[in-house]
Order: sequence, then structure tokens, then C-alpha cells
Amino acid sequence: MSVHAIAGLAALNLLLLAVGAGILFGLRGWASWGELLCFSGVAYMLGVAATGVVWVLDVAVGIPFGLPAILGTAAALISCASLIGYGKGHRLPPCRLERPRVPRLSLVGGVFAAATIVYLEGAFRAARLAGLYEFDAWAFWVPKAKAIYYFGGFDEQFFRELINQSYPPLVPLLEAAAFHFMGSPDVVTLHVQFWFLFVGFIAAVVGLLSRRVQPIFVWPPLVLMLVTPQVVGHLYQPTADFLLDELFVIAALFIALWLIERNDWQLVAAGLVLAAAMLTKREGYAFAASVVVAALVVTTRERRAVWPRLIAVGVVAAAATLPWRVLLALRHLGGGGPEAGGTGLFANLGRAWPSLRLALTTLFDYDIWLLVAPLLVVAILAAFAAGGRTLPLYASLIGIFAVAAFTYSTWAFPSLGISTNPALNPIIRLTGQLVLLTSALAPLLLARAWQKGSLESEET
Amino acid sequence: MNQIARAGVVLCIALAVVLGAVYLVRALSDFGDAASNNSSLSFSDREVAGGNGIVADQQAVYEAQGIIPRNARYRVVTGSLPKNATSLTLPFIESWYRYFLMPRRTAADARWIICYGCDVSKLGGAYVIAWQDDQGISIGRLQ
Amino acid sequence: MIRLLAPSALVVVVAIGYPVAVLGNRSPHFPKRADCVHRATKDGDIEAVFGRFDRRADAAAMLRRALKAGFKGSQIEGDACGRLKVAVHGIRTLAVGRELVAEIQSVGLHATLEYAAP
Repeated sequence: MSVHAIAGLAALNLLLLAVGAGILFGLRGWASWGELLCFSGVAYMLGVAATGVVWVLDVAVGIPFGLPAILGTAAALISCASLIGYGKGHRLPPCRLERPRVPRLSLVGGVFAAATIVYLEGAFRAARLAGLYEFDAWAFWVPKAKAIYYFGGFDEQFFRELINQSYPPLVPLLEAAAFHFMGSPDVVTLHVQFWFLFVGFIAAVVGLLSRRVQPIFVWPPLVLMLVTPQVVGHLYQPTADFLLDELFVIAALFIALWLIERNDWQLVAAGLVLAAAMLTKREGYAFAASVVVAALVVTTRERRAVWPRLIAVGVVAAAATLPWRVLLALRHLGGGGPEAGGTGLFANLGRAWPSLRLALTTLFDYDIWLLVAPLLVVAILAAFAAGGRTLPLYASLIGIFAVAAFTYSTWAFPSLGISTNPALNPIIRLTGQLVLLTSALAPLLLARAWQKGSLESEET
Repeated sequence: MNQIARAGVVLCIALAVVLGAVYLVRALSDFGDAASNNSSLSFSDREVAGGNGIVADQQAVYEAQGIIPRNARYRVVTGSLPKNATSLTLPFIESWYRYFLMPRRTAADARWIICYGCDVSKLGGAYVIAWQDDQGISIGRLQ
Repeated sequence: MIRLLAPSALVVVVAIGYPVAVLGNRSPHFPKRADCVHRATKDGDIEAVFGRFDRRADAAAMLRRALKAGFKGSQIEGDACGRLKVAVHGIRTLAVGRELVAEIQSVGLHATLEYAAP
């Protein structure tokens, strides 16, 4: 709860930013320091993703997790990524101290940016002294983090005894790293780490969109998502739900931009972030599959050229989770499947419609998510009406797959109540995926619907 | 169709701006309330947090932390409900202590015991109490 | 130039102005275990605290020393910050408290005067 703890967290997140900047350099470089500033959120999320994936590998193969491993991993990632970037011809731009090229902010952007900053400052105030109340947080996420912190790895006893054995370990590793940088397992200040992740996510979305879409389309959907009651009440919870959604949305946005611009670095970045999503929660696999399959469908006409790359992204991302899956198998820990999946669904056919209805009513529940979901629907329809095809179809498919996944999550688990009570069913947390996605895709859809000439014409 | 599309865009932006403005004020108020509530808590109330609804006696938590060595094994044994117990106490007391007392480990045959209304005659040895309260919670060790 | 800088200036002003407005003329509070130490500065419900400990064994050792030195009524209790303190209660005035502290120091122990309840 001390200044020292917060300073430690700041240092950790600067380290993640530095790693991400290295990866960004390796992927695409930057033309100016102003451009890097614009992409700082993107760099941060890439750093979180890459570091998290490598940490899982480190600990799965037995490297003790502590400050040396954390710093060593960061140094290795920065070095490798920098070498790759240098080999590709990327160079650091000159430092123009006399006339720095900083991004220009419009009045609309300024007003909304100011509102967002005030929001984030308010969230910080709430987060920095928050106690650990959430069941999932103290029942397994934070205990796993403490076990990693105290014992330097996936302690056999604790990882066997704690519930949800098969839940991937990226978040506990991130929390353990936070403990190391804070100097103690400070579960109060830990909430600030999730505030940092949320800030990074927002900065990444704005950074990726602001160069392509006018501020009036970027900011309103973003701010609407920020002020939904569910986000306000839970954005700094030390659990994996929001990080999963943030990683998924960044990956979906990378792929959406790739569909428009066909810069391969966006595809590689998406793969990296999808790998991290799959190592954050088991649902990450379904989310990753939905994004990849949606991209495959919208690129059917050019499948010979495009499908191998998209499939490779999905396969490589999934392969990054193999060390964790192997460890689970070696330790005979639960693989984490549904209670009544596959043919079991037919034995619970009576749950199908109630599960779908629960998913839809939760998504469109004003008291939880305001009008975010209707906004996404209208944005998709408007983009279709303006003659768009690829982007609105991509967004529609992700939405349909997501609703199917939400439905399945209740249908295939008969022990879950048909209820929005978080103690009985995690449906509210699951639907956050589409709500956060709206803040990223709606701006592209709205811009597409508004423009007569098109983003569409940039799509091949 | 372009006009319909643009009307849809205007509708989306207008709704988002209006709702965003209204609910931003509410969000800031909610954050402020949360910050005030968090700040007004005592150090230990903030540290124990969700456990306050489970452990029945907060002092027991810190006594367990101060009595059971960090490298020791312990077990939580329950029996009759302590006076201030809640419906969450019996189902979750063991898992909550597992989270809070780490790096201490649990073991089915541990000699350090956190007794929540337990029957001491069934502990498997002479139970020496190091601390107890008036609610039926005690911490001790089998000789 | 002003039109170009105005949006950025707005962001900076708001980013600084909001926390200033919220804090007023106070500095932000960072809780620490020392917050539970309430030094007595005037008469009231005062206690003499021999020390604070993380481990009960250490608190018990201090309690034994205090009792052996003749300070009956000394006891171990929690301090609301997760630590155990050894204290003797029932001091009504600072003058009496200072006399007691002098007596405690004369036998090689140390104590501070604190309010029993904030």
C-alpha cells in the first residue's frame, strides 16, 4: 500500500513497455519518436503478451521464477527482437530535440482524451487501496501467484490443491512478478497492476485507430465502454477476465487492420497476443479460434494466398501453449473440459434455449453494459448499408461465434444456474469480450459507414 | 442506403456521447465512493478484506500468522460454528487460510492446528493451545 | 498555434487539475502499519506500549519481561494493523504516563504512550 509498492509496479510496467518497444522494433520499427509515442500502448500490450508467454515457458521447463528470471527474460526478448529488427533494416529515428514531431491532437480528441484521463485517474484512486474481495481472486488466482512468488515455480502441492487446476498461469505469473517488484505479496496494491493493464489496453486501441479513423468515431464508443457499470466495478480486479478480453480485442483489432492494410507485422502481432490470450484463460482458445475462423471466412475468395498465413497464426499461437499443456498432463492435473460437452449437449437439450436467451439478455442488459451491444449491431448494419463487406462480415462472425460460445458456456455446464448472479454463472464476465471488442471495431465500422469512398477499396 | 448508413452512424455517435457523458459523472462518483470506503478501512480490514466475511474473528488470522512458523505445516479443523460465523465460514475457511497463510503449507497430519469449534479429542494427540478466543476458535499444536 | 496547442493543453490541465481538485490541500495517504500507532499528546485513555511484534512468541517473551519487572496488567493484544502489541492500560493523564515510562526505562525496558483507541 506504500509509495514503494506503487513505484515497484511502475518499474515492472516500464519493463514490459521496454520489451514491447523492442518487439515493435523487430516487427515494424517506427519512423519517428512521435510515432512510437502513438504506439506506446501497442508496445505495452505486445510486451505483456510476449513476456507472459515466455514466462510460462520458463517456469514450465523449470527455471526458477524470480527477479533474475524476470529481468533476464526481458533482456533476452529485447535483444532478440532488436536483432531481428536490425536485420530487417529497421533503424532508430534521429532524436529531434529542437523540433520534436509529436502527434497532433484535435479538439474532439482533446476533449475525449481529457475525459478518459480523468476516468483513469478516478479508477486509480479506487484501485490503489482496494481489498481482495472477489472469490476467484483469493480462491485461486492470487494463491497461485503467491505460490509462484514464494516457491519460484508451479509448486506441486499448491497447484494440485487449488481449484481450477487447468487454468493457464499467465496471470499468476504476472501477479508474482508484481509481488517481486513491490517487494512483498501486497494484495492491495496488486489492483494497481490491473489498472496499468487497462490503461495499456486503452492506449493500444487509441494508438491503432487514431491514425486511420477520425476522433469522433474513435472516442465515443471507447468512452461508452469505459463507463458501463460492469467495467467501472471490475476493471482492476486481480483476476484474468479483463486481461483475456483486452488481449483478445487487441488481437481482433490487429487482424481487422490486417484485413484492410495487409501489413504482415499485424498478423505476427496478432499471433503473439492470441498466444497470450490462450495462456490467460481456457476460453482464450475459443476466442482465438473465433477470430481466426472469422478472418478465414471473409477471405474465402483469396484463400490460396491468405489462408495459410491465417492458419499459421492460429497454429503457432496454440503451439505456444504446449509447454503448459504438457506440464498439466505430466502432473495428471485436470484438463478442464466441459461437464457435458460433445454428445453430452444432447442429454441437456432443454438447456439450449435458456442458455442462448441468458447470453443475449446479459449482453443487452442496460444495467450491466448500457447500450454497447446495440451500438455494435447498428454499426455493423450501417457498414453493410454503406456497401461494406469484409469488415462488417468479420465483426458479425466474431459476434455470432461469441454468442455461441457464451451459450455453450452455460449449456455444457449443467451445474451452472441459468442466472446472471456471478456466484452462479460467469456469463456477465464472459460477455465482456464483445463489449470491449465494440470499443475497437465500432470505430472502424462507423468510419466505413460514413465514408463514401472507402476503407473497403483498401481491402483486396 | 448511404443516407441510412449515415443516419445509423449519427445515432451511434449521439447515443455514445450522451450516455458517455451522463455515465462518466456516475463513474467518477462511484470511483470516489470506492476510494473513500477503501481509505476509511483500517489496515487489517483492508488486508483481510473478503476474509472478514469468513473467518469470524479477524484476530485469529493474525494470531495464526504470528504463531505458526512460516515453514511449518498446519491444518484447519472445523466442528461447531463459532459465535460470529457466517454461512461462508465452514465451506471456505480452509481455502481462505490456504491463501492468507502462504508460504505455510497444509497437511492432513500437520501438528499445528487452527481449530474452528473442533472436537479436540479427535485431533489425534494432546492439543496445547497457544491462543484462543471466546468464540470457539483456537490455535495450537499437538504434542 | 493556439488552436494547435489548445487540445493538448486541455488534456494537461485536466490531468493535473482533477487530482488537485480531489486532494485539495492534502497529500495522498499511503497506509502503513505505523498508522496504528497513535501517540498520546494530551490526557485521555492512554496505554504504555512495550513493543509491537509479528510473532506471538516474541510478544510473549516481552510480556514475560514486563510482568517479571512488576508491570502487572500488561497484556498482548492486536493493534488493528496485523501486529501484536504488549501494553498496559488504564493511564488517564500524560503526567502519570510519563512517570510510568520513566519507571519502565529504569528497569531496562522501553515504552511509548499511545491512545488505547483512536
